[in-house]
Amino acid sequence: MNRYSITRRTLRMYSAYNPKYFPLCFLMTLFKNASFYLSLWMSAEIVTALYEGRERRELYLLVTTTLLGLFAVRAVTAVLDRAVETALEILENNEAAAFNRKTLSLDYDKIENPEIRQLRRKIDENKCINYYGVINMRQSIQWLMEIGVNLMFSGALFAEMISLMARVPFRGIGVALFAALCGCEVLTILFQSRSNTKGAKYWDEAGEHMLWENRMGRGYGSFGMDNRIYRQETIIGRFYAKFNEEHRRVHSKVFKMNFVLNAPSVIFGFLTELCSYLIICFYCTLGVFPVGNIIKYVGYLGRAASSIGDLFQVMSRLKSNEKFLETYLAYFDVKNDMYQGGLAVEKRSDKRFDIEFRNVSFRYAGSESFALKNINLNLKVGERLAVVGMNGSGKTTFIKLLCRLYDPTEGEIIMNDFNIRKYDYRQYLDVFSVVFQDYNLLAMPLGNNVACAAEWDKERAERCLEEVGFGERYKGMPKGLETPVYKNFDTDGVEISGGEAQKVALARALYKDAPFIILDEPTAALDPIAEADIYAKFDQIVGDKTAIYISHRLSSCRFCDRIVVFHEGRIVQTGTHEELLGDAEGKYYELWNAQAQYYT
Amino acid sequence: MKDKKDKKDKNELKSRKDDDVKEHKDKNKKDKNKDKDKKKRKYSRLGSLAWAVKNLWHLDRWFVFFIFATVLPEVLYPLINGYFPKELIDRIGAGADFRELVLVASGFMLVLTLMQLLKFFIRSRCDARHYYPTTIFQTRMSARENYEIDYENTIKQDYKEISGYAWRDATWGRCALEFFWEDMSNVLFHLTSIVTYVSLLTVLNPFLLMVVTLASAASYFTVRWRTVYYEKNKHMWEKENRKKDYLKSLSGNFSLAKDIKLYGLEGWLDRMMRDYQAYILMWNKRCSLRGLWAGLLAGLMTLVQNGAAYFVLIGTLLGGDITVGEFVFYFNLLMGLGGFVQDIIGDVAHLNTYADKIGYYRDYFDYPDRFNHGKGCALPEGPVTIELKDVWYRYDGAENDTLKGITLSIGAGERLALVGMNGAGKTTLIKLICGMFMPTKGEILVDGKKIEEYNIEEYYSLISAVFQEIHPIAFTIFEFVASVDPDRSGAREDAAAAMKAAGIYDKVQGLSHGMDTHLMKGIYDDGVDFSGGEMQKLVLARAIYKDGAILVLDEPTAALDPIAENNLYLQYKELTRGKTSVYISHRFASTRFCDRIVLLEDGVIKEAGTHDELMAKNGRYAYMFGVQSKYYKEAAVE
Repeated sequence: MNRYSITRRTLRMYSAYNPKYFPLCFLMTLFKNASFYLSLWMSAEIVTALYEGRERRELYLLVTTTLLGLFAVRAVTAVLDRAVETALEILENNEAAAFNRKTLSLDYDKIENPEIRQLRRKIDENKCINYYGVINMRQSIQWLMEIGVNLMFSGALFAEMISLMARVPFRGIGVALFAALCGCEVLTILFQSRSNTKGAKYWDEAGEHMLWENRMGRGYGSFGMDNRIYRQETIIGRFYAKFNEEHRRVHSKVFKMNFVLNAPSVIFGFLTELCSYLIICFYCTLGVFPVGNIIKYVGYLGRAASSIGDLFQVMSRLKSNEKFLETYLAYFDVKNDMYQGGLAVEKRSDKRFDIEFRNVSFRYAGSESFALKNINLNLKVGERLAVVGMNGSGKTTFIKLLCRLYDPTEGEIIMNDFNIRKYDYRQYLDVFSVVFQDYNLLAMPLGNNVACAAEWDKERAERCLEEVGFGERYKGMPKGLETPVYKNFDTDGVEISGGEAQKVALARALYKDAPFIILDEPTAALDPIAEADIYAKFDQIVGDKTAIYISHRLSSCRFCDRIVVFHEGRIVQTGTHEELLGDAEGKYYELWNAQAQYYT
Repeated sequence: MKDKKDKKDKNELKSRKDDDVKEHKDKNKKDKNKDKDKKKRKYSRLGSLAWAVKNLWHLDRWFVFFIFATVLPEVLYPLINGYFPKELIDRIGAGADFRELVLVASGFMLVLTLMQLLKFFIRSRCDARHYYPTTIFQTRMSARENYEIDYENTIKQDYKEISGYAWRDATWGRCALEFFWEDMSNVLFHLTSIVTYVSLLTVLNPFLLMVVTLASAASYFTVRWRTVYYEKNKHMWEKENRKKDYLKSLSGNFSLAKDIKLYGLEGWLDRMMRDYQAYILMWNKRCSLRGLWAGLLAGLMTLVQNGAAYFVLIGTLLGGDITVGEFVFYFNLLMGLGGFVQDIIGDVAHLNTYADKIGYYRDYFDYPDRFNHGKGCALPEGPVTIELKDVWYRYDGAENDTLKGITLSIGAGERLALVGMNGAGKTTLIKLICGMFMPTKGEILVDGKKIEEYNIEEYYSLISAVFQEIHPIAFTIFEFVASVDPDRSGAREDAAAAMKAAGIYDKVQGLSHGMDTHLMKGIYDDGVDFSGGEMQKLVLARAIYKDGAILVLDEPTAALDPIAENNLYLQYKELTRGKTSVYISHRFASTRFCDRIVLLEDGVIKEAGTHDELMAKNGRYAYMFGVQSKYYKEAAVE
C-alpha cells in the first residue's frame, strides 16, 4: 500500500510537532461518541421498561443512574476537549515556527530563487482552498478517528442485534429487507463517491479562480495618490468586472452541481434508513426484541451507514490532498547547496583582512548573460574604496558576492590566503557591516533595530546614533531606545522619514563594528547638509576599517583612496580621482562631468 | 536544567502578563470617558441588519427570498422526524401488522426525503448566491478608498481606524456581510420552532416549560460569562497576534533576507515568534478554562433538564394520560426545544456581533468628504497659474504646523524649483497643489479658481506627477504608463515615445513580451521586477505620457546614475514646454533649469529668486549650494 506514502511521511513529521495531540484527539472522539450511544441505549431501556410496566421506583432509579453516568461521560469529554484545543494550538505553533525556521535557514540564493518563492506562495494559497495541505490532512485523520469509533460502537450493537435476530429463522421478508438495505447503502456510496470526484473538479476550478482574487489583492495595492492621478481604476475596474462575473458563474456552477450530484445519494440515504426501520419493525412484530430497541437500532444503523459512506469520502479526500502535501514536503526538502566550510575566522584586533577577487564571473540563476565578468580586484586593509557606475552595471551584485550571499559562477574570492568558502559562514558574514540600498527597518523598538538583537548596549547604540547625525531626533524621543519604530503595533511608535531611516540603518552598521563597512547609496534620501555631514564624518565613522562606498553622487569619490568604475559587468577603470579624471576618454570622466558641470 | 529554564520563562511570561493587566487597567481608568463614547453604538443593530438586507436586495433579490424561504423546511423537518417514532411505537404496541408499518414508515420517509431535498436545494442556492454580493461590495469598498473619497481622509487616524475595522472584517475569517444571513435565518427558524414546541408542550405540562426556561437561562449566563471574559481581554493578545503575522511575513521577504543574513537576525526572529506564541497560548488557555467550566455547567443543566423531563413524563405516562409513543414524541420535543434554546442564544450573540460589524461598513461609507466630488466648473485649457494665499497645513494629530503661511504665485508655464532640508515641507506643499490635501487655513487658486470649485477627479486630470514613493502595480508596462487612457488610438505609440524620453524603452523592448510584460513577478510568473532606478524611469515615463498642464516632480532622480540624471536635465525644457512645473530635488544641479527657485525652511518660504540672484544674496541657498558643490569644485581646482 504505497498509495498514501506521502501522507504517511507528512503525518510522521507533523505529529512530531506535538506527539500528544493525536492520542488526545482519539480519546476525546471516543468519549464524545460514547455519550451518544449511551443516551441511545438509555432511551431504549426506559421505553422498554415502560412497556413492560415496571415499578415507578425502579424506573426512577434507572433514569437517575443512567443520567448520572451520561453526565460523567460528558464531563470527561469537556475536559478532554479543552486538552485537545490546547494541544492543537501547540501543534500549530510548532509547525508555524518550524516552517518559519526553514525559511530563515535557506541560503540567500534559495530565498530569492523564483521557483522556491513560488513553492512558498503555493503552500499559502493551497491553505486558502479547502485548507489543502497539512490542515486538510489533520482534519481527515480526525474524521477517520470519528469513523473508527462509530464503527466500533455500532459493531457491538450490531452483534447484539444479530444475536437476537438469530432466534428466528432467517428467510423470506427478512432476507429481502437485508438485501434491500445493502443495495441502497451501496448505491448511496456509489453516488456519493461520484459526486465527490466530480465535485472536487468543480471545487478546484473555483479554488483556482479564488486564488486570483487573493493575488490581485496584493497586486493592486492601494497607493492612493497614483490611483487617483493616473486613473488606475479604469484597468483595475475592468479586471474586477470580468473577474466578478466569472466568479459568479463558477460559484453558482459549483453549488448547482453540488445539488444535482448529491440529490441521488440523499434519496438513497433515506431509502437505506427506511430499510433499517422496516427490518427493525419486522423483527419487532415477530417479538424478537422489545419495542424500545427500535430507537436504539435505528439510531446506530443510521450512524453506521453514514460512517461507511464517510470512510470512502475521507479516503478520497486523503488522496486528493496528496499532491498538496507533496508541495509542502518539497519546501522542507529544499537543500542548501552552498558549501559551508569549517575554518574559523581569526579575530584580529588589527582588522587585517585582505580580500582578493580572482577572475570572478557571476550569472544569476535562469539568466543567460553574466552580471559580472572577469572581476579582478584586491581590497587593501584600511582602504576606502569607491564603486561607481551606471544603473545595472553590477555594483550591487559585486557587494553580494563579497558578502557571500552568492557564490561566484567562475573564479574565486580569497580572504587571508583561503577561499572564502572554506570559512565558517556565520563567522565570515560577521566580517561585514552593510547598509544595502533596499535596507529594511523592523516595526520594533529602535534599540532592537540598531543592535539587531533582543538586547542592546545603550551607550554603544546611542553613540552610533549620534555619529550618524540622528542624535537630535533621538533626544526628542521620550522612550529613547524603547521607542517603537513605525506605528504598526503601538500608537506611541514614531513614523520616520526616508532620510532618518537611512541614518538608523547606518547606525546599525556601526553598531555591528565589523572590520569591513559597506555602504550602498547611503545618502540618496538625504538633503545636502545631512549628506555633507556624513561625508565630513566619514573618516571618523570608518576609522581603521576597510570601507566600500557605492554612490551615484560622485562627490563622494573625493574622500576615497581608490575608485573602481563598473560598466556592463566589468571593471573598466581603477585609480584615484585625479588619475581617472585625466583620461578624457574614460567612463569616469563622462560620469563625473555629467554631474560636476553644474557645480563649477 | 531545561525545566528550570522553562520555569523561568513561565515566570517571566506570567509577570509580563500581570504587568499588562495592570497597565491596561490603568489605561482603562484613564480612557473611561472615551470608552463610554465608544460603547454607545452609533447605529442600532436592527438598523444595521436592515441596511445589509437592503443592500443585498439591490444586488440579488432571489437571494433574499431564499434566505427567508429556508425557514419552512428547517422548522418542519425536525418536527416530523420527532413525531415519526411515535406512530411506529404506538402501532406496534397496538399490534399492527407489518404491512401497515411499511405504509406508515414509507409515508413518513417520503415526506422527510422531500423536506430534506427542499432544505438542501434552498441551501445550495444560498451558497451559490452569497458570494457574489460580497465580491461586488468589496470591489466597491476598495474603489471607494482608492479613488473616490478625498485622499486626505485616508491618512487621517480616525479614518484609518474605521477603514481598518471594515477591511479586517471583510478580509479575515467570517465576513459579516457574507455570513450574517446564515445567523439571521437561523434566528428566524429557531424562533419559529421554539414558539411551535412551546405551544405543544404547554398543552401537556407547564412545569416542563419552567424547567427548560431555567436551564436555558443558566446556560445563557455561563455562555455570557465566558464571552464577556473573552471580549474584555481579547485586546491583550491581539497585538501579539498581529506581531506574529508580521514576523511570518518578514521571513519570506527577500529584500530583508540580506539584512537577516548579514546581521544574524534568525535566532532573534525565531525567539520572538516563540515568545508571542507562548503569550497567546497562555491567554487562550485561560479562556478555554472558562469554556471548560461553562461546558461542565451546561452538562449539569442538561442533566437537570433531562431528569425533570423524564420524571414528569414517566409520571404522566403512569397516570395513563399519554401512550409510550407520545412519551417518545414529547421527550423528543423537549430535547429539541432545549437544543433550539441553546442554539438561539448562540445565534443572537453572533447576529449582534455581525450587526456591530455591519456598523463598521456604514461608518466606512458615511465618512464625509471635503473636496468637491459633484459638478465642478470647467477645466482651464493651456498653461495655468497657481496661486497660494497664506496657506497653512497641519497633519492630522500633529502638534505643529508643517506649512506656516505660504504665499506664492506660480505663473502659467513657469518652471519652479523647490529646495530645502529634509522635513522642510516641500512634499506637503506639492501634495496640496495636487489636490491631495486641503489647506488647514488659506486657499489655493488654480487658473483663478479655488481647487474646491473644480470637480476633484476632473482636476486630477490636469496633473502629471512623480511622487517619492514608487509603487509597482500588477499591470502590464503599457497599462502602467498609459493607465489614464489605455484605449485611445495611438496610446501605444505615445507610451513608447514617453518611455524613450525617460530612457527605459530599450530595457522594456528587451523583455519577453515587450511593453505587454506584466510588472510584479510575485503575481505573474512571467512578470518582471524592476530595480529602483528602472522604476523611477518608468514613473517618469508615466508622467510624460499623461502630459497634464501641471507637472510635479518630487526627487525624480534619487536612484538614477549621473548619466540618466543628466539626460533628464537636458530634456527638462522640452518636457515642460507649455506646462506649469514644480521640481523638488536635493540635487542643486536641477535648479539651473528652472525659472525660479523657492527655498523652504521649517514650513515658510525663506528665499526665492533665480540661481544667480540667490547666489548673489549669499544666504541659505548659497550656503547649501556651496556645501554640495564643494567636493566637485575642489576637484576642478586641483
